[in-house]
Amino acid sequence: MASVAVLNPPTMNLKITSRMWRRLCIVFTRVYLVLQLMLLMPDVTAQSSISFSVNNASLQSVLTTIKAQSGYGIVYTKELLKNTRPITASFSNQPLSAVLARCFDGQPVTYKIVDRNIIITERPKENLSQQVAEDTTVVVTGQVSGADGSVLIGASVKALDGSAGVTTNRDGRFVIAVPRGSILSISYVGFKPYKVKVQTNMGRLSINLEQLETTLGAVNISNTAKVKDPTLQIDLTNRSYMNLGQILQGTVPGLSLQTRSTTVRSITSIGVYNPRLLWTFMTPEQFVKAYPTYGQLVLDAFLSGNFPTWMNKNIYQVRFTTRVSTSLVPELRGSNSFAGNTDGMLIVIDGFPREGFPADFPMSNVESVEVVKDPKELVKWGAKAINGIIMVRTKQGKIGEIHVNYSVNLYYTPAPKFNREKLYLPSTGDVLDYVRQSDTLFNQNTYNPNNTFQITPAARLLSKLHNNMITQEGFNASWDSLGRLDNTAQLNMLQQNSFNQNHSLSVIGGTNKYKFSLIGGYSSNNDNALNGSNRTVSLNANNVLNLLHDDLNISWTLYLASVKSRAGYSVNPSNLTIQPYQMLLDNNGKYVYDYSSFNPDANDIIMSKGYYNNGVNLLEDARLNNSTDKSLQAQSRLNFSWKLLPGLQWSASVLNTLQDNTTDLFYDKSSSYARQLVNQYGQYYQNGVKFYVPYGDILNRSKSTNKEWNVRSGLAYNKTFGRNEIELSVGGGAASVGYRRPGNYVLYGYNSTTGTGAPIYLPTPDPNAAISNYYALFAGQGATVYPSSLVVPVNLENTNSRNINWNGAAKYTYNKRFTLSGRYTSVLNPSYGQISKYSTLTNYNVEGSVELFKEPVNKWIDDVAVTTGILTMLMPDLPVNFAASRYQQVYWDDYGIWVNGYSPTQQSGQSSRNIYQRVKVGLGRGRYELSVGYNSQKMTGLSSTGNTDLTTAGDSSAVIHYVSASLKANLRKGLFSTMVTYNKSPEGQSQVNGVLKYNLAKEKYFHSNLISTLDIDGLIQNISSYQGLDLMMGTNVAGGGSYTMATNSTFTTLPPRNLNYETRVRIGILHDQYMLDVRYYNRTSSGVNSSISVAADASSGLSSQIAYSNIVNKGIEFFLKSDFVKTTKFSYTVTLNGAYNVNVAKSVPTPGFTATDAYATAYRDGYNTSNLWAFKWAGLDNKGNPQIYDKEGKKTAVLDSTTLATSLTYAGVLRAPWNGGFIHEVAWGSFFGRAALTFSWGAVMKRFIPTPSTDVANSSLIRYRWKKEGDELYTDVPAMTKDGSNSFRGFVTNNSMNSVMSANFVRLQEVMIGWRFPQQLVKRMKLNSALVTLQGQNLAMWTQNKYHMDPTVVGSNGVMGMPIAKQYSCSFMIGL
Amino acid sequence: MAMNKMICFLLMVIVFTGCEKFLDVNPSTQSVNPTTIADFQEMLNSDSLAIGNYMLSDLMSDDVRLPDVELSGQDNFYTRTYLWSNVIWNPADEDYMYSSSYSRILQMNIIMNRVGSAPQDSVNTVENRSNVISQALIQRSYYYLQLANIYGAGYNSATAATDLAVPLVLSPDASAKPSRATVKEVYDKVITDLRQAVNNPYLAGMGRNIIHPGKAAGYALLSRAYLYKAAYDSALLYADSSLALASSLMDISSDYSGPTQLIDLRTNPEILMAKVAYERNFYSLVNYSFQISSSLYSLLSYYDGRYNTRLNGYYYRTSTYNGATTLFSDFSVSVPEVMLTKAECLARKGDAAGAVTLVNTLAANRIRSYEEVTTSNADTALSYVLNERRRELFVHGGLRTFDLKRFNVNTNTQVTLTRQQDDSTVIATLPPLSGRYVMPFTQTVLANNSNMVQNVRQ
Repeated sequence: MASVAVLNPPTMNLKITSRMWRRLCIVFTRVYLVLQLMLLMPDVTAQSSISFSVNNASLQSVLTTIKAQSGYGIVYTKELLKNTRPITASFSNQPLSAVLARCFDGQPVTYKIVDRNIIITERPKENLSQQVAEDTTVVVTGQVSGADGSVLIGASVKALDGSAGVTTNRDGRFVIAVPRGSILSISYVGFKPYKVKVQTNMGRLSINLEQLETTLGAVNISNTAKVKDPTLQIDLTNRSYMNLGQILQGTVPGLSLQTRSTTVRSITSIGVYNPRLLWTFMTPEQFVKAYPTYGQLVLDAFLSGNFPTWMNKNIYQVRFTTRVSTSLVPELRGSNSFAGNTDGMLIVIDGFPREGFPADFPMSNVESVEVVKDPKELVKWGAKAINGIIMVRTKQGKIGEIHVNYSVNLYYTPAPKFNREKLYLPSTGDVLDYVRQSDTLFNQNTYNPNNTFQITPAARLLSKLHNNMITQEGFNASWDSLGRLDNTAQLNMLQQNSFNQNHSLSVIGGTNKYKFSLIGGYSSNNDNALNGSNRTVSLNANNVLNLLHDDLNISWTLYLASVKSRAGYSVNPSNLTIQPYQMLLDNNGKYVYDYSSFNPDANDIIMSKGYYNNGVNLLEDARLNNSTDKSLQAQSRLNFSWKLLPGLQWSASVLNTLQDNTTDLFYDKSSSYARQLVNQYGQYYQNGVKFYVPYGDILNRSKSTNKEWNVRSGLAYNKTFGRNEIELSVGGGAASVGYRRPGNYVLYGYNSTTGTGAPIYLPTPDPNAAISNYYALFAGQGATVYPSSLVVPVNLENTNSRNINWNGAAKYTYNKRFTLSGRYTSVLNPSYGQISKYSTLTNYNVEGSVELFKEPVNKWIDDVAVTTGILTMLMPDLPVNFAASRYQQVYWDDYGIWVNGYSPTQQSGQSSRNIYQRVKVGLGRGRYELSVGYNSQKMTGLSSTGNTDLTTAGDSSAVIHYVSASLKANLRKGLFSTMVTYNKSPEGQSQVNGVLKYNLAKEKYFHSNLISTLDIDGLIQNISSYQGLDLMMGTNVAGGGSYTMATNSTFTTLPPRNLNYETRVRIGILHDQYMLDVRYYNRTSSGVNSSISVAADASSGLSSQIAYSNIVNKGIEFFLKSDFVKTTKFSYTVTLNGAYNVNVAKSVPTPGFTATDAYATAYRDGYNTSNLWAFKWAGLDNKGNPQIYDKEGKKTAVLDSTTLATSLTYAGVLRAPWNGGFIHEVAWGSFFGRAALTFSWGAVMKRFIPTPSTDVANSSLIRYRWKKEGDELYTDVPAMTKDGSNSFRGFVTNNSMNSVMSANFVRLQEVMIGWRFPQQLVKRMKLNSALVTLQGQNLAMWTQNKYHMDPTVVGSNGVMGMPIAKQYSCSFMIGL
Repeated sequence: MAMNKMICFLLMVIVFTGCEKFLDVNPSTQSVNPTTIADFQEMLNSDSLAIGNYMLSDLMSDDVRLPDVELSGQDNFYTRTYLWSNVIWNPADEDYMYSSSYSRILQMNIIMNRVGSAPQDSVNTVENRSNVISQALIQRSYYYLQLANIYGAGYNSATAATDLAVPLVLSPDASAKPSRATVKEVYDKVITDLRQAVNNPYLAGMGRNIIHPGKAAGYALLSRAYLYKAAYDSALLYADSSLALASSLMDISSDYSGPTQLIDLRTNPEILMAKVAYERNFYSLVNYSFQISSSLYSLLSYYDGRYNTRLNGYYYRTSTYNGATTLFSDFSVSVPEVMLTKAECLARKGDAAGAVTLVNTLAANRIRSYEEVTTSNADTALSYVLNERRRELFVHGGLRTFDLKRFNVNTNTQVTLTRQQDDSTVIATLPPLSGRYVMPFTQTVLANNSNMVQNVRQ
């Protein structure tokens, strides 16, 4: 019995002493990766370059060296090497094949290469006859994974005759040499064993073991020569100089990077004016919490631009994101969410989910990048992963010399130019002309300095004229001087040019016991917002320990970061608070104050009494105030598995996250905030002002801590005695996420040296009494404030999320024929405030199986087995979740709760129990396996008849009986495999699952010199909500001695039901010089989780409700890569990568007609989720009124709800169905270059057309409004009327075909050139490698619309945002 | 073996009690799913319950006047309501009166729906539970009474069973799409609920603060509902019950500056249940406040505290709240209203002296150097009472409009209202019992509930 040692990266059973290690270090000459060569070489076997020189070294040690340098695994038995001869040789950058040929020359053994493994076998004796010489030993390689795709480590792979046996390594891979014809058994605790007959030419086996709990007969065998799927696993070879954004762009079909801009508006902060704190800036979350009754409505209004009449938008200051530097957002197949926005994918780096998309994450530190699209995998990561995951794994420690790499990226982004004309914003002349007409046509306001507040300077001048407070001459002079002012140039002072630098230093090394990688990073970024900056210092450490003779495996990943950021003032052109004629600085460079929210005359009055100036200057405030955020983060994940005793393995995973945040809002005493606040708390007396708040700097500091941990642990025991085999496993875990933010005081009169504030004065005798402030100076006005409210700490918030889970499994096998197994999984969640302290979600399964005929019965039937079992799932009974905000009421010294939404209960005590009997028959010598089962399924709380929405549980209980079946086939020597299953989900929905794979190019009958690769795949995947929940629960169960991940999933709602069809064809032409990969997919997700909210009846008290819906996400991904030229000196590759994707809404509620923009884009059954509806525009009539064609095609200016509801027509989609990139890559000697064009095709966008009314519309098109008869021939902008913004007139003007236009564009996303330092130079510099690249981003674009508007910055309402800045950068990368 | 079993059992106990302790955490201090009595108490704490805005229904009454300059601006629902136009709402307008009333009713419905299944804890005592129920019922009744009077016809016993009011939503359901209940159904429910609320022996006369209603507020609303039904005996009875619990008045005849925000009412003894409005949008549209009508103006003397604190000449006074110029109105359920209800009932029953005494008591706290009125004639007494009622309850959550509606039910007290331009040209007329007394629903309300029937205005 030959024992087979497996040498395979990254595990290594071969023991190398530290002495040997040192000697190897000396012996090895420096390793030079000939990068130029590698860039030009495809990933073909035996092309790695090897350099070493040895003198009289054993073959074994030479093989170790080869293994370390090539990364190939080596398989041999020790006996084989006994009689080998020592080697003396010297190699410098030799290909592997040449090295091996030299080393094995004249040896009694020979080798062959199978899938990156060097298999050493006895050299066949020359005098043997041909027949005997035929190698009877077959080397089988493969990978074992669970049905969910997670690799199984330590799975047993053995020949049934006992001739050989191995376990899988850390990657789940195995290599075994067994006689042809023997049966291989692959088994693993908690999984069904799988057997396969060994044949020659099996290729690589990819074995997915069926987990015991799943009823699907999902063992799926596929034989593929190449496992690396370029469409999922990104090829990083020779791409270390790129960043994450570049590597994703054009490597993964269907994945496109979308430029996100200002108009995909997200609110960064919202300022609220209140008498207590004046302008208080909050995050949107804080805002919604602080104003639970209407906070969300205010945010929605600002985002949509539609303000309800009751809302006064002037009392808010809203800031939107304008970060152009991180403008790329990955999007897979067009995100499959109803929200319809470019919701990015989840980025997971070393198992830690990250916020945002780090486009400039350097690839030099990355080991692998994987794109996860499989719904089965996505469901485990919770709702955030619904649009796909990008899994990045940083470099792991490697045995061998310590490698040090350094890279630096430098960026320069000039501030985007503020240009009123290009942004379609009105000029001074436009505004003044408009205000004047409005004044003539409508209300001629009068002005009273005492109580006319919130009036613009222009309106004030006109009012003063009507009030005879100024003469006509005086008015004319002032009006003319206003007309000469323009603040465009000065507004550019609110932005800055941005310089960024990112440094990264990585150190990688290790021995066979300990491997490590350390990556340190420093980045310093200034954004385009004035004074905005961000400094990050980070450390990423990966440690792998193999101790106790490899019985204890520990991997520990640590991420530490310190971030300090300062929020800058970001200009939002469509939401500027000042008029175009309001300057920031006067001719002497002094700040010019804006008194629009008060009035300058009133300001003079209060200043004469002793108050401070109440005026505002944006530039002064942006320069003086300082809002910083400091955070310290530590994330750690420890995984270990320990073989305590033979057969007993303990595994555990500990995830820990700690984050400390300090947010400082600092207001300088000269800022408008400080001045206004002090004034607010100033009480006027005959002899002066009594200020209750000390005048000085103000600091509002809040600290918060986020602690998260997740511990999971399990024991697995495996014992065989005689014919009995026992497998037991138990596991459990707990998770907790806690957020603490203590209440904080605001420090007034803040002294930065002592860190203290000055006291607040309180009124006497009653300290809680109100005072009247300066408004008392104005007749008919009044305002009260309460100084005592300033001395109450506010902002306290604590949140906790916890769960506990248990699982256990047991299996008993007798004589390998009779099996009894059971499994139990349970998750406990807190149910605070309920009678029971926690709720329990339970899953269990008991199964007995007998293999009736183990040996072939006749020439057709191989084996027969019968199985019976029970599968049960129990949901907890949770109450309806009313989403309520609880908030502090400072004045009332208590807390209030306000409900503002509710979601239906999805877990209300339902249960499903399936009792089944199955017969499994193996046919045709392992070619077919047929399984037929009889199932009796009892379901409580849900009905078997078509009630798919599961939003409410019924009391009903139903029993269904059905026959399930499954057929597996493995034909054409493993080139064709298929599996089809018919089953019912635990909810009682019929399901068909299936896969099909056919490798046509390898077929005997396939002869083509042209086509080198031809694969066809097919897939039908059905995952019901309960099965999705089951998959999520499965992450708590240890798989292969370790846990695949540890994220805190929530188990309170059901994941959506998924139905997925996919077909894929891969064609390689001329030795894969041209590769075409086309995939059609069609995925339907249904449920309330992938939900849309539809308007609710107002009498329900809610503005929206959650409805059951489903969405069909379908399209084609295509990926065409052409290596046009490929020589050692020069190569030119073009990749066309794109997708056609549509999201179609199905069974959504019919929207009721309302004359709102929301109705024009409401989800409609059978239409794209981003559909836009518009009226057929018929121009203006001769009075300047908008006209449309009604449903009969008649021109009409009569606008009423009946006409409008029937006249809307489909106008296109707002999200482009065609998206992709066109990437050119060139390499010439040591130079390389890359140009990426992205395109977006097939969408439309709106252009904002104002509807002139009393208020100035923020658009330069007001210049072209209808003024006199005849104008209708030239303009579409209606005449000024007294109709308000919510009128039919405004609705029609804003939503007609004349404003809908093509949003097609092609963007030159990036141009890069790079240069690798020549070897000689590098050597002279005592370096390993060095390269430099220069990049330019967003360099040019071509649009189809005639206004040259960049569709990416045009908002859904047609308003333009700030242009996307061009970015220039430079990177250096040095290997030490 | 027994030992092993024992150890196993102990281990299980430790593990499970540990679990219970570990999982027994409050998920969030800021985001909750209200289930406990303590949660319901905090729901009733919310000062949003005291903030609502029915100023639009005040604009419909004869207490208000918009000068030409305010009518010449943007065409909007304020001006159209004032002019009793057939169309009030622009197609995309949201009716804040309707949606905010129902969002408050939802809070109460959740409490009523869940209070029975609240877990037993230290806060869940009979006293606390019944007080939560009573307060929720009083708050809900308040909103239904407002809604019935704004969107339904005045209570007419002959037609109340067929006149449509608003949907009577009594439990939370986002997708129910209820039809409109009749005026009678709403009133019946309001009276039943209020009676249940005040029959609670634990409910104190006054709430913990002005946001929380006590028994006095419950009785006050009962007397208001019966007064609107013209059931004067019952109205009198409940007004008496209310006054027995709370009858203090605040002297505002001099040296009183008037409230500008809800918290300013904190120490006002007249407030039984605070309700205030912050109307900002009207001011931002026209840069003005509205005026009071000359008929109301003529009733207010220069020495009247209500003139000094609520008006600035003809204009309704503005104040500054949240940085915006605001029309603040206090329309709380209060002692003066109950006194006036009692006085009206007494006068209508012929007790002139009783009625006049109440009027004098109230006016003495309002008007500087007040000279008491006397009469033995019940009709004269009634006119004193109604004049005082107008002085006291103008811009008071629509009460004057509701009064006009109930006066119109009786043919003897019907009035025809007109709107005049600055030069006295009549631009609008509102005859008694006109359909234009009833507020229409917005397009959004109709679009989202197919069972809603629009109010016809012509």
